[in-house]
Amino acid sequence: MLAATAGFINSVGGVNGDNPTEITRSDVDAVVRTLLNNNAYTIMDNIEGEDKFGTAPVRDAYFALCSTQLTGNLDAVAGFIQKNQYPAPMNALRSEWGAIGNLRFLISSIGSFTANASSNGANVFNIFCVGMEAYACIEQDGYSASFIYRPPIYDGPLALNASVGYKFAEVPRITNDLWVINLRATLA
Amino acid sequence: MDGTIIGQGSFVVPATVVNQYIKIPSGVDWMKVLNYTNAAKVGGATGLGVSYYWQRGMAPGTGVVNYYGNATAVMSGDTLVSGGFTLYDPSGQTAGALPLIGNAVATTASTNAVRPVVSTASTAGIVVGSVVRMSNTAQTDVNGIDMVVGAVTTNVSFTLLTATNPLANVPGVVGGAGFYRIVNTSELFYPRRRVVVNITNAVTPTVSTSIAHGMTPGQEIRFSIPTLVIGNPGMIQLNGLSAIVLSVTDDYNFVINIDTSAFNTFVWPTVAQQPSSFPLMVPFGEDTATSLSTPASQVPTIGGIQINGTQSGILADATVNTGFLGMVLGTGGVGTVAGALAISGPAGTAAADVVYWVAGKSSYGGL
Repeated sequence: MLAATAGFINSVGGVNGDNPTEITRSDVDAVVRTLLNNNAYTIMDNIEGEDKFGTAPVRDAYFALCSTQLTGNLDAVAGFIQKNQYPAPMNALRSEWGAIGNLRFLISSIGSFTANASSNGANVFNIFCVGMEAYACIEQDGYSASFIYRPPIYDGPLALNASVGYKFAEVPRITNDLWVINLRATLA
Repeated sequence: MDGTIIGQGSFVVPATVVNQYIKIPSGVDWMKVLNYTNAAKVGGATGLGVSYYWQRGMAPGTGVVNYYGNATAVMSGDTLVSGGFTLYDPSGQTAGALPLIGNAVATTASTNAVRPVVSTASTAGIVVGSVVRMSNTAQTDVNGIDMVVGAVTTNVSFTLLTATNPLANVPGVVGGAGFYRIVNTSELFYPRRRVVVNITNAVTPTVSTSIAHGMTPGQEIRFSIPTLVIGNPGMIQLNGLSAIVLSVTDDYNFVINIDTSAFNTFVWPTVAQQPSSFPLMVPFGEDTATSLSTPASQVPTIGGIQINGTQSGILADATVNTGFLGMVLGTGGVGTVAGALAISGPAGTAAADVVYWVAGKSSYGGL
């Protein structure tokens, strides 16, 4: 839903010669600036600095949802803080990779990308930068999804075949389009 | 036996024979199609397909066909090389289904025009209304943007965009060699963000999009106009503003309620301004009063066909998943034995053909 509807900004600060380019600090700053100008609330509180070697305080942040393919590129962005460098790493989420400015990046192996959509025909990765309550899922029938398994005993007298199926009764919805931006980027 | 699912249906071939997308929610393991109209004819110049069969395990685009040959009442059998049956799954999770995006096909040149003409030795699969995505050409402001095809000269060239939605200005350079890919599916969810290729300066301006927008009157959209650091910045006054769709002109144009008379002229980012973002319109809601004033237009359509899963009426702007499982019935092609003799496909032979189909999901067995 976010890939279909959310407005996007191309990364343009990189040097890979493509459009969009690889993600850079200036692109992150542009997204944060836009979300701030649109009065989007950050989702995560700041992590206060502590007197520990190799750590750095983390700003209050919006979430950036993206593909695991981007991890190396994120590492290379100026100002990137690995989650093991947080003053309190236990405050990081399991899927979190790190933070840049006011964005904390959550990664997934099924993160969104648009195939062959760059100027050079490369895959374009969609990084959904979202503020608090930017989108929601509405459960329409008292549940979100059901995975239904019927053991073979329900199949027939000989109990030969099991069946599985699923059904959804929910719909995602952007609640405020100003609070979600798709930052598009290619790999370096 | 429990687990076996059988469905059936029919359709009438429209004025132009085009691929038919059949919804089969359960998925499909086999499918039979019968051209009821052709069954009562003898053969013509083109092989008249009468019955078709496909089963999981057969290659995409193929199928078994029985047809009348040239002016004969004798039924012949053959297999379609292409233009037969292809599974449809816009989620991209079904092996052998129509790919979300086609393979890269080489192009040799593109004209520096508001409707670039792209030269290529192969236009296979492209028809007017197809969506293509260019890459690797010198027109870096056209690359990567989905654009509708407005004209096709078979195996010579095709024209990007239609007469009603050309770019606001030329890309800036002649495009050299590159590639195109056919985009077979749009994003799953409706309403969809679209790239804007032009906006007129008017009291009620017209907005043109690069591919079909599917908007209905009353829907609200917000514009994202990129700040171009080099050259003419374009209609930046519109950036961030929301507008109401007053009327829909066609699949690629609609009229909004913001007076742009005094705004800068709209600029399509040129090659010299790359890399850049692109002008967008982002749907976000609906103005109920406008929608209620145009009740007959509250049906999201593309090509005159309602977008799958969308609502009609006051909820036409509702966010919905438009995807479905099914089968693409092709328009036919040469047969393995028939050779040069083209055989009409399961999508029909001519306008008004009546076609019946039955499809099933088997409970056991294999490929």
